Amino acid sequence: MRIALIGNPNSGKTTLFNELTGANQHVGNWPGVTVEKKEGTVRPAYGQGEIVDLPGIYSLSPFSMEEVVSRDYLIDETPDVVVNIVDATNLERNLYLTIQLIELNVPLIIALNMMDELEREGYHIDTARLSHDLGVPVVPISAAKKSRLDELVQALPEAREPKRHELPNPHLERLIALVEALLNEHLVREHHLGDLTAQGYPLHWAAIKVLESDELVLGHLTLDEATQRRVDDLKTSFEKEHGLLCTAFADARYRLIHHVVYHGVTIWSTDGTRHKHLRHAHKNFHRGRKHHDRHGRDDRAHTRDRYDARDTHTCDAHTRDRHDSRAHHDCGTCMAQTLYGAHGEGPAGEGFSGGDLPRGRLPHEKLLDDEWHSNDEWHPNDEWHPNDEGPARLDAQLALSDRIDRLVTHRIGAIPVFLVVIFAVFHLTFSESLFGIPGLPSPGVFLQSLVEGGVAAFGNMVSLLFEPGSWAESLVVGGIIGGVGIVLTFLPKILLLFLFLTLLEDCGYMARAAFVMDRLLKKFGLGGKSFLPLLMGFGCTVPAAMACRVLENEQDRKLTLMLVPFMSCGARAPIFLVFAAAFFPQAADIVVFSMYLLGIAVAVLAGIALRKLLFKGELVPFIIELPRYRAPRARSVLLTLWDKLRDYLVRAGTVIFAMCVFVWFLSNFGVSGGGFAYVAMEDSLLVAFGSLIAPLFAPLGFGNWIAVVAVLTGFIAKESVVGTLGVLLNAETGAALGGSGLSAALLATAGFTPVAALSFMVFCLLYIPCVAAFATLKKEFGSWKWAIGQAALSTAVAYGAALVVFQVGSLFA
Amino acid sequence: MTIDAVDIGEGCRLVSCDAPPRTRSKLETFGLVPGERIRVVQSTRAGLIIEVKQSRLAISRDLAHCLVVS
Ligand SMILES: Nc1nc2c(ncn2[C@@H]2O[C@H](COP(=O)(O)OP(=O)(O)O)[C@@H](O)[C@H]2O)c(=O)[nH]1
Ligand SMILES: [Mg+2]
Repeated sequence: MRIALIGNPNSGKTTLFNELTGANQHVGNWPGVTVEKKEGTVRPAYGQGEIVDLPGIYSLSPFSMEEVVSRDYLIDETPDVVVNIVDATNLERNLYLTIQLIELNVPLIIALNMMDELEREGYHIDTARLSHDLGVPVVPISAAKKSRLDELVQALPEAREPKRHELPNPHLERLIALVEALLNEHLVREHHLGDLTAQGYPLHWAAIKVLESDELVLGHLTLDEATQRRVDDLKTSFEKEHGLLCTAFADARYRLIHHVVYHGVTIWSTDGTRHKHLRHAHKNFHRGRKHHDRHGRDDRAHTRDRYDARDTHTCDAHTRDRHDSRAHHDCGTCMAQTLYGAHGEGPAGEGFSGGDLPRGRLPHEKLLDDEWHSNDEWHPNDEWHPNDEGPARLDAQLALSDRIDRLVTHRIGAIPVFLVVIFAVFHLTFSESLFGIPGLPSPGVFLQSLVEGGVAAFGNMVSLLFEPGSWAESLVVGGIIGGVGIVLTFLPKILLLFLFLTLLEDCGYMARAAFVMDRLLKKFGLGGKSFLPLLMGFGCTVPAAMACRVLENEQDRKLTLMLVPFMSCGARAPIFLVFAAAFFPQAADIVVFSMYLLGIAVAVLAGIALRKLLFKGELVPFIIELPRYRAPRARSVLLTLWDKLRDYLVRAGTVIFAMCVFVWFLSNFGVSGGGFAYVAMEDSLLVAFGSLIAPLFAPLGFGNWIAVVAVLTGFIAKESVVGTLGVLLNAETGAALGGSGLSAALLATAGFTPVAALSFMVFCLLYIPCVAAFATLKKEFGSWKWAIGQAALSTAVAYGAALVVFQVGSLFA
Repeated sequence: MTIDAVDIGEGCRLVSCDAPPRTRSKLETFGLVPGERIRVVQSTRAGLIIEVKQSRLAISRDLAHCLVVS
């Protein structure tokens, strides 16, 4: 069985997916786009099947890559079951996608998630009724608590293509019917009908999409001119009378949902002082539920009656406030009576006095159109509704999340809060002395030193297997273990950065931070969502580039990926530290700090320029859903980290491995004694190449082969720059070198002057990212072209900036 | 009036949305259709946090200018 998971972002898809598949999962990309694709096999404990975790989306309109990918998957791959995960704490918004899935006519089942949270808050959803009204099986689950997942799996074969619902807007329905007929005519004429239905594209759905001006469907249908004109005419005349079509669709779908939720579903509140009487009612309702369960589902209506009766008994009518008395009738009968009563029909009475509900028919089908049309008339929102966080709560005490939101987005307070959070993250990851205590390393530094020790010990052990000084030893120990090892030593810091990030993301803070930063970033052609990746760039380009996935707009994402490498990563810091200490001992901190600022300035300028030249699209207006504040779950955080770890290790074992071997080869082989042989570094191809291109760097002030080779090895890892300088200068001068004791005098033998040093720092700040970053960029861009473009751009910018620094600097020096 | 004139904590009802079509569709996806109730949770120079249909959205100030409410 092939199962597809679909739902809104943050509805718990990944949590459910992880639970159902365990470790049997595979993360890749959808072909052609860089939207993450997660596939897995159901754990035997739950049965069998293949699951795909589709990207989180709010609707099936083709507005974002994610939506297109999900829709295409549903239409082209025709999964056996589509599991729509619905966040029960946010029912209406989540059902919007459900309604569209019903329109698309796929075999559907609803997993009503977050039931634990819902119940903790004192609400209750009558899932049987919800299922009945939607015409889709509904299984209440809690993915995080792993409760009732087996029921979900068992219910999967029950999924059927649901009967579509008429939209509660007769004008719209009429229009859809007309267009459907037109399409039918057109398709019969063109002999397309076969393909279309074979693809599982229902004609009705196609008609809706044509009306919504869905370019993808229109492209697929290739309407002839006459048909297109007739459709356009219909649209125009509708819009003249009833307003915009898209709005009409959204409005009608939400009205339908509103009915299902507030008429068809009972939601009982027991929380807060305001509804304290309801706590009582809720308990009674549960007693009612038990009775109901004993007597089978069809007895539901009886149960409700019974509950009503008990409630009247047990609650003192005088102490009940307005809300309560409404509540007591509202969900079940009151609204229904309002609705039906208006038209002199009494199915509600029938329904709740023991008779069966009008199966398959929604109450709105009996309504006159104008009832649905004027927004000023009856609106369910005007009635008490229990889950209302709207004006009913206005005079009540502010909810905690309101207060947190107001603090973290406060017009003055937001920035300090943000700075403290970010400082804490960086401090814990990168600081050499935690909380300013000398000698106490941060977890990141500590773990890194462990890995370094491990890699060195491993290298020493392996070197015992080889003849000392042989080329094989040099390849394995120096080239591979040394090269890949350096890259692996970043791993603790990368993982730690990701850990903190995931925690902040999971608890809901990151969406708020993006909102706070949006205004600032807009000036540079970016949006608030780019903020986080850029910030992470100061730590390490690799996780920063991976974090760009949060940007749903392709252009914004590519632009952010282009700019991330300009943020000075941790590995570049040693270069600044060494040179600043050697040449500008009085102002080392200022010099290092200005390097960081320069990186930001270059990113800003490049951002503005690229937005003007390459990414011309309008900046997508900032709309972001702020998820509820939730405590992060260890399991999901660990799984995320494991994903990143695996990703990184795979890259270290493939691309990075190959590059290390390549660079090792270049730096250890060369022409010597008339033949091609294993030589000392000075005679190697790398040095030969370095010397060859060294004149290119003369205008920058460091046209010396040693400096150039250092820059070249910096491609493996930016840390290597300092290491290579140390090795080569040592070999040259034979001077003993303690620690990072690259002194000004020693560096001067490689032709460095203070101005040249400055120029060298600027170059190292901006030039081509390291192998690991480059490989990541390639993966995230989804093409070599863009990754190479980024490398070319950054190298060109580095060259230009260093040139200016050296030439201008020389005038003053 | 537009929604950025609504006081923090106050509720209002959407009258119309003058955003460009794509953005409007996106807002509609979240339930921001004419007649819908909106509550303003926070309003700063950066933009607004609004609550609609139990979900919380952050929108930029320029977008808030497009939402006409009563
Ligand atoms: N209380 C509760 N939280 C859940 C449940 N399922 C998921 N979550 C949390 O909801 C958040 C979003 O879940 P996730 O699986 O990442 O959602 P996705 O965006 O749809 O993949 C995470 O913080 C989860 O821990 C649940 O059943 N109950
Ligand atoms: Mg997910």
